[in-house]
Amino acid sequence: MDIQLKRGLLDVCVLAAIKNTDSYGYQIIKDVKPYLEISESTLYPILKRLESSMMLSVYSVEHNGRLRKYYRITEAGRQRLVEFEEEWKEIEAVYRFIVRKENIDD
Amino acid sequence: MTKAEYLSQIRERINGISTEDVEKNIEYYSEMIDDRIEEGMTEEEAVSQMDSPRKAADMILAETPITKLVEDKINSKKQFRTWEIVLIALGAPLWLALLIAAISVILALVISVFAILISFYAVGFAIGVTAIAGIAGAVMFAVTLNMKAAMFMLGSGLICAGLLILFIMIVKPATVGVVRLCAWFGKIIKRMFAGRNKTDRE
Repeated sequence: MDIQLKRGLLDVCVLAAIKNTDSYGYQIIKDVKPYLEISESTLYPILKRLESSMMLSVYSVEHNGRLRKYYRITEAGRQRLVEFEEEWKEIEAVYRFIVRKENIDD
Repeated sequence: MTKAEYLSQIRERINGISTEDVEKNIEYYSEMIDDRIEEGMTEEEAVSQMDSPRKAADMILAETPITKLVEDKINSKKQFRTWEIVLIALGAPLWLALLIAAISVILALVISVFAILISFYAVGFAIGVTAIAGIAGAVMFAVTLNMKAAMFMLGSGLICAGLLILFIMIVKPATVGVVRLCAWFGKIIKRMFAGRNKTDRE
């Protein structure tokens, strides 16, 4: 996918991965990967960014003798997802404009 | 490579950023490897699936503004002992002069590169103007029926127009090249500030 397009979508994708249940790094990558190419190195700054804009919160859970970080979506994060759904209608309109066929009115 | 090797290679390359950030990043990557191992992969397989230490380090550094890198580097210095402070003060004329020289050289290099690019544009502009002048002059001479002069001006004007076209073809890749050069340069500087540091090792 075009890198500019992808950049806009990744943040929301990560939020979506944790919208129904809290999740951890590797699981998020597995969830997003079928839709968008993402690696640990790309995920980390996204998580940092979402945390500092308070769209998710972090907590640690003990797991098999080590600490695993879990991410939970916040109200602000959910709000962002709702906004995205609104934006989608605009995106659809732009898409239809781009793929329109030749028209007598053009 | 093993998990320990992978993590230590990343650690070496991001050594310059604050210890807090270094630890957070290493924890993150360590967790990623552990999760993959839990799924059944071996250490080697887990590491091979992830970004190379160099790519991981570059991404981490890319998120750190260069000013923070410099700041962290300064803050990480241990407490100086008295004799070290005295020595540094005494040696100031030398290392200060060297530092200024080094910075000047780097600045000079950067300025030269841009000067070359600007002269390039200036030449292009000059060629363009000459082309126009040539054709305009040709018209003027033709009007006063001085055909030999008109022909000469037209010829020169067309040559310049040709050169202008050549120039336009070169200018875009040249400018893109310079911009990429600056980006690469910035990356190298960040690596220098954050990289393996023999003197800082405990």
